[in-house]
Amino acid sequence: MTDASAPLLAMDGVTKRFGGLTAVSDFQVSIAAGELVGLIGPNGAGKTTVFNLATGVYQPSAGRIQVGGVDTAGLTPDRITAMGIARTFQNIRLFDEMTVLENVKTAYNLRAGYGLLDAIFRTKRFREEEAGLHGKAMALLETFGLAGDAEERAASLAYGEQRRLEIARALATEPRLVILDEPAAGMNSSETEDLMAMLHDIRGRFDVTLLLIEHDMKFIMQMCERIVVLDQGRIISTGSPAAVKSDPVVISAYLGDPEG
Amino acid sequence: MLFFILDHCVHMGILVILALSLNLINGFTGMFSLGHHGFFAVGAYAAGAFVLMTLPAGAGAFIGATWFVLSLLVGVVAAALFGLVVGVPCLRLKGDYLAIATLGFGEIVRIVVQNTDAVGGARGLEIAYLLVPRSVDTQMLYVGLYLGLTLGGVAFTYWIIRNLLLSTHGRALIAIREDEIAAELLGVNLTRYKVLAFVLGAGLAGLGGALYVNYMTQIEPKEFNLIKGIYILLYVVLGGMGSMSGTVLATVLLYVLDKVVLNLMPPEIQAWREVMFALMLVVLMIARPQGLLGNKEIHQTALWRRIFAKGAA
Repeated sequence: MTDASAPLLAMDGVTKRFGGLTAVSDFQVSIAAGELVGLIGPNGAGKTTVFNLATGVYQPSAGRIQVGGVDTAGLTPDRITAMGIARTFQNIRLFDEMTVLENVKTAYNLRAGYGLLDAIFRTKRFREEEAGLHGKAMALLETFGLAGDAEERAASLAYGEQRRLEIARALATEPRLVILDEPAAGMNSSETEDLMAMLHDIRGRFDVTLLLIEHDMKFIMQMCERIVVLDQGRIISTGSPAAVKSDPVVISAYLGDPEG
Repeated sequence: MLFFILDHCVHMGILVILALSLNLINGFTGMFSLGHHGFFAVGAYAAGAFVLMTLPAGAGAFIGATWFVLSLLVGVVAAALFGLVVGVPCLRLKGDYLAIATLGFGEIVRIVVQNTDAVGGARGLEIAYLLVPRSVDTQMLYVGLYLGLTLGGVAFTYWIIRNLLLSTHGRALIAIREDEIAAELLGVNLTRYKVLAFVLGAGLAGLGGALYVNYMTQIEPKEFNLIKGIYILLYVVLGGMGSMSGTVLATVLLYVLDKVVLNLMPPEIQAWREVMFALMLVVLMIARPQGLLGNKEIHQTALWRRIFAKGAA
C-alpha cells in the first residue's frame, strides 16, 4: 500500500488551529528513508503538535500529510502506525501495570497473525505465533539491556530504563520511521551519551529513519544531519546543524532579539 | 437444607458469570459500565420470550433439551447484539459519561420490558420447565442439574475470558485500560477492541440471563434493577479490577455474607443489613482500595505462594 520510493513522511502546508490559537502554521517537511532529522524550537513552538499531526492524534486544520506517498487524512493513529510510523512520548507513557515483556508484546498486536478464535481455542497457529512473538520481544529486550527485567512491572523500572523500554516498544511495531519526543529529557550527560550511541546502533540494526525533538542542543547538534527550527508554529530555519546554529533568526528566537 | 445450599450455589454461579463478564469490560479494558444488569435482563428476557413463543405444545424431553440449548444461544446472541448497539455509540464516551450512558441503558431495558405485554409486562414472564419439571419430588434433581449447568457456564465464561486475555487481543484490551493514547499509537485499533470487550462481556451476561430464566422459570422486570447492577459491580471492584480469581472470590464471599450470615442474625440486627453491608464495603475500600487481589490472579499472590511452597516442602 505505501510506496517505498516516496518520502517516509511528507507534510505539506500543514496548519493546526485550536480555536483561536494557531499551534502550527504552514509546516513543511519531507523525510526520506535513512535520514536523521531533528526538530527544535523554544517551548511552545509547536513541536509536539507536529508529532501529533504526523501520527494522526490530531487531524490538520489545513494541509496534507502523506506517509509513504499515501494520504493519511481521516486515518486513526493505529492505521498510521501500521503504515510504518512509531513514536515515543515526551512524558513516558508505558503500560505501567503490565510487565516489561507484555509492554513490548502489546506493540506486536498489528503483526500477530492469528484471530480471536485462534486465541480462544489455543490453536496451533496461536501457539506458533505467540512463541514467535515471545522470541522477537525477548530479542528486542536483550538489545536494550532489559531482558533481565522482562517480568518486572514496567512502572518499577528506573527512569532511564523506562525511556529505553519506550523505544523498544515503538520498534516492536516494526516501523520504518521512529519519532522520538525528547528522548534525552531528564537524563544526565553520561546517560545522554549512552542514548546517542544506542540511537546510532538502532538506526543501523533496525534500518529505521529517526525524527526527534530535543532540547539538549549538544545532543541534537551531534546526532542530526538536518534540523528544522520551529518558532511560534512556523518554520524559521532549516539546514545542517552548523548552518542552523549560526542562523541569526534562530539565535534571536532562542535568546531574544537584541533590537528589543 | 442441602436444597437451599445448592439453590444458593446456582444463584452464586450466575452472579459469578455476570461479575466475570463485567470485569472484562470494567476491570481489564477500563471502560466503566454500569449497565450490566441490562445485558443480564436482555439475555433472560430474550431466552424466556423465545421459549414462551416457540416451544411446541406438549414437547417431550428431547424437544425440551433442544429448546434449552437454543434459548441459551438466543440469550447470548441477543445480549451481544445489544452490546454492539449500545457499545458503538458509547465508545466515544469516557469515564463518568460512559457510566451514565450505560446506566441509562440498563434502566431503559427494564422499563421497556415492564411495559411490554408480550413478555408479561410488570407481572413478569413465566415459561415452561424445559429439562426437568420442578416439584417436591424432583427438586433435588432439578437444583443439582442446574448447578451443574451453571458451573459449566462459569467454566465456559472463565475459559473464554482467560484465553482471550492471554493473547495479543487481551494485551490490547489491557493496554487500552493502561493508556488509551499510547495503545492506539502502538497500533491497537481502539474501536475494534472496545467493541469486542463490550460485545463479549454483554454476550456472556446474556448467558447468565438465559440460565437464570430457565432455572427460575418466573422472572419479573424489577429483579433487573440498578441495585443488581451495583451488586455485580461491587463484586468486581471488591475482588480487584483485573483479577478473574478475585472476582470469583469476592462474589462468593459477599454473597455468603449477604445472603447467609446476615440471614442467620436476629431480626433486630438484620434490620441494619444494608447499613452493615455498606459500612463493610466502605471499610474495605479504605483498607484495600485495589480490591482483594488487586490485578493479580490468586496463584500470583504472596499468600498462595507461601501455602504452595509449604505444601511442596
